[in-house]
Amino acid sequence: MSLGMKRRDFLKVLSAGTCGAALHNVLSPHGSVMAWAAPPTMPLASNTILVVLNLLGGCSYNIAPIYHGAYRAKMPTTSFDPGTSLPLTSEQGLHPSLVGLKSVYNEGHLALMNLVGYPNENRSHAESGDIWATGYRNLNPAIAGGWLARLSCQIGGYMAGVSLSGNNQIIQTNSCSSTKSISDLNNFGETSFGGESYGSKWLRDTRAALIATSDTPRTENEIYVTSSMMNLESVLTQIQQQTNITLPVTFPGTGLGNKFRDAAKLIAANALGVRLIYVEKGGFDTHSGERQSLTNNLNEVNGAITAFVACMKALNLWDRIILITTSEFSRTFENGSQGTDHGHAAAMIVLGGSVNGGVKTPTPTGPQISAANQYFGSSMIHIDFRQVFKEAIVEMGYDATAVFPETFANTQFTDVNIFG
Amino acid sequence: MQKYIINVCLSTCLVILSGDVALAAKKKPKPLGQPIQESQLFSTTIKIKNGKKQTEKAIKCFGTVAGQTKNHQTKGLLFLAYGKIAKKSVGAKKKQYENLAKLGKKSCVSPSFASLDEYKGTFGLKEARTLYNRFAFGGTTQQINLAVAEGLNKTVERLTNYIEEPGIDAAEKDLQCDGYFAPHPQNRTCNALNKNDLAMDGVIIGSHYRMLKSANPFFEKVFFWIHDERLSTSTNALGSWEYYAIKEYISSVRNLARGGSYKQYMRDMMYDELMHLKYLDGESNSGYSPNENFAREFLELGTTGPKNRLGNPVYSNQDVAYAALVFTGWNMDCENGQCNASFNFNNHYAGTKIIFDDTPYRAVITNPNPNSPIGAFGEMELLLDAVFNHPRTAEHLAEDIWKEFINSHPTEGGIKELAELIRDSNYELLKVLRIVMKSRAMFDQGSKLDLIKHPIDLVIGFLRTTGLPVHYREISNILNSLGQRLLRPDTVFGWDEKILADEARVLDWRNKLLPLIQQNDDDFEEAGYDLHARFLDDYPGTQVLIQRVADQLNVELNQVQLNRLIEYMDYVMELCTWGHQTQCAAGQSYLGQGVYFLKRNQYDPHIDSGNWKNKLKGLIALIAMLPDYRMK
Repeated sequence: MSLGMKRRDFLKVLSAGTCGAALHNVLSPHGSVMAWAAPPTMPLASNTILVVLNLLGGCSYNIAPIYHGAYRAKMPTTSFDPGTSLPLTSEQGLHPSLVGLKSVYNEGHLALMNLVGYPNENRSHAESGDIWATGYRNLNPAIAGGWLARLSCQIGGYMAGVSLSGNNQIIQTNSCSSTKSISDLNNFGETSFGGESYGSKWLRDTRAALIATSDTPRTENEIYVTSSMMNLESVLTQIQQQTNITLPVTFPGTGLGNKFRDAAKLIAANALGVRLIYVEKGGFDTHSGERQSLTNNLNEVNGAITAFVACMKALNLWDRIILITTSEFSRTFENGSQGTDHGHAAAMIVLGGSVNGGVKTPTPTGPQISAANQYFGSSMIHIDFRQVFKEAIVEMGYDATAVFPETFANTQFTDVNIFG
Repeated sequence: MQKYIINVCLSTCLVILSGDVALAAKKKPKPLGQPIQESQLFSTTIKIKNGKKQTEKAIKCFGTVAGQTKNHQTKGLLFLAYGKIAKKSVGAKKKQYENLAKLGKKSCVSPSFASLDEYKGTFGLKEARTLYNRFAFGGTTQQINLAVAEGLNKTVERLTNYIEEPGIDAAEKDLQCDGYFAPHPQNRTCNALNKNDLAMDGVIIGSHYRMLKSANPFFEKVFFWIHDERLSTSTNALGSWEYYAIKEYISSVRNLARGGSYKQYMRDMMYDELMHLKYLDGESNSGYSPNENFAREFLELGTTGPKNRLGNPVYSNQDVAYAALVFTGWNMDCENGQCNASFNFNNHYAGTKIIFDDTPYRAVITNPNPNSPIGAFGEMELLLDAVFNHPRTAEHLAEDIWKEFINSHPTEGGIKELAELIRDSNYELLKVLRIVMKSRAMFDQGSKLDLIKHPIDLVIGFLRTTGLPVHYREISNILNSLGQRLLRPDTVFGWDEKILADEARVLDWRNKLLPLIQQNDDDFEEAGYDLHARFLDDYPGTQVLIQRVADQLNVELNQVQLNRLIEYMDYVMELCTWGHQTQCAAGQSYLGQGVYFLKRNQYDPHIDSGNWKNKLKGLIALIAMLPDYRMK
């Protein structure tokens, strides 16, 4: 089948408005600066905001430790028992660091999926990471683009999707301008300019002044270009003002804490229309000394998420939040260095005010664990990772198939009712 | 049309008074920004007949675009002077000047000067930069100086004579294989026996690399224009067993750019596996179940265009349907992972087709050999002849050339003239472009900075002009972020450079530009790039340096901007609290806000001064982020 866009498809795109065109249409050279910032009128469901937290490096299954003897035998120094972790059921719990997440579980708003993966596993950081980011098992990432970007394009608007962790594959797209990469809300998505104390500000201020004092544009095209630049300056100022918010909760001063703080500000500044946020936390490639390393990392995760949840509740936004953890793979059973190596099928966590909590796909059983060679492989997966995201996208009110067009092999579970 | 012109004028006019009060205007003009200089005004010529003698007189219209004749008037314009003088005259003289005023006004609404006549005015630095920006992605200081020294004719001759580049060819071929140069571990030698042994990413990276490094930038620019404007296509349409088709498509476009005929190009597209069979569904088009996709775009984008200059349709749905039937019978034959285009006359509709029925360009397409592919090929030739006999094909091509290379407001007369030139040149694109490059229209005041750069113009141009080093794979990433990756447009319509210059993309450009500028010393050294030698070898003062960078980037700064950049270069910004309370208290705070203040730290061009590097990089970045830099 030809992949070329047919006229009919093109016209469909036109009528929906490619992001650039839509942005231009709602913001004429002399139109209102704020008009574009508010997303188009949407049903209530689309006010849902999805936050994706990527635990980079391949997060061990001990994020949700299994209590079966078979598992403990294969993970002698890295696993936990009910007394040293946070039990969710008699078979499984959460890592002891995740106290805040356990509270959310107790409230009924944390869902745990076991054995999440995709067919024909790939245990390379980069390649498996690309698969999780693009939603395609077999397509070149450069062609595929990121799935979060595809969703952003559907949502539309200048800032539908924001990465607070760099220009990750997950937000890459050639189709629209709805994803932004922000390293720092102060620079607001703009690469810093170093070398001087306030080099970035000095550069920005100078640039704004130069644009404002440009000669009067003479032609329609010149007017358009000059207006675009002037509008952007104005918009960036507005955005900086909108996110200059004092949040009701203090976030921990860790790297991840800062990112979740910025995420909270972006969400609180509702007029910006941010509906998707991507955040990363590295350090999960625990080939050795996993127990302490994982604990340290998950402490940081817990601190950031706990503050974020509290903030969203304080702002009455909790019901609109869906937060999902991902990782490029889970890990093997224990190696000889008190660590674990690259595995596959993972534990995935979803939390939010509208989440119908619980352990949604069964904890690996003793016989399953015994039968598994070094790790939980793709033949064992309960549910494809894309299915989990698809449920979230449907909950948001968008077309999940357009975001994840590739069909995938049947798994034991295709719908786990994460949102009731 | 007039109402549209007025509405455009009302919504976009930024014309203001200059000098003394306007003549005759009853409403006081609203000043907006800086006064318009006469040199900025749209110009044209009027032909004056005095008995048998006809002369041409240049006049300046008091608008900035064609059609803008209402609103404000500036003292001293020839155009207006006629009307003014007429009022003060009597008898025959009065009538003469009244006629001139009327003629001038009409010419300003729709100028009809001999646009393609050879430009004989000054070919200085500004003109040379315009030529290079539009036809070669921009030029270095050396190239521009050489162009000025040689003059327009010689420069055009040099730019448009293709020089063989075996080194670039080899590099491109290497990249097409896997997207990497040796000694990268993923670099390999392609299997010469497998025509599909290519990496699509590598093909794109190779094309970008070629654009950056080629000594034939004119041909690379024209290649891009054809790919963008004249039936664009995407490698996304190909499966790995069909990859060979991209090389054939590229070859066809390059043949056109390097001196081919546009008619031959459209013939090539009719047989092109990527464009026709894959991207536009030619392989699904059979006599039993026609698919009109290729036929429609063949007419709409490739040849006549959908409407004529008056807005009337050029072809009907029936024409599309018949054209589609001409193209039936093709498919891709695949065996053992290798595909080739093939023709099956059993799938071809061999009945009579009529194109442009009920028009003077009616053509009947018959097939004397219905049981042979030759018959179908014959039909395709007849269709090709029919569309190229239609006057709109040359006009449509003229419009696209004009709007890409001359200005955004082609005139009736200009298009007519260019279309005639295209036909007289047998659609040989190179011949036509050489004339365009040397035309008055190109260098007319109204064409100046009237075109928006594509992202490819912006990025390749910036890199070629400044010489800043960039990793060969990074160009594709940058262009991808700016919404334009060669050989991968979103639609058959290519890219819209206006949409790609909107607010969102402005930020994207900044975020790509700043890391390019801020590469560290090691990166520069590895690439053999000496920033100091390029700009500061003669230890220029602040103003000289600013002008040097602005000239190189072909940006004209006004005095206010120049002063602001001098301030940028000569100061840094620091917090008042950092031990400078005295200065703060003395009121030396920037913008008087009391938070920051400027500390004198004049830029020093000496190589060991330590601050020149950052200042220079900031200066280059600032100028490359201005609106004028986005124009060409």
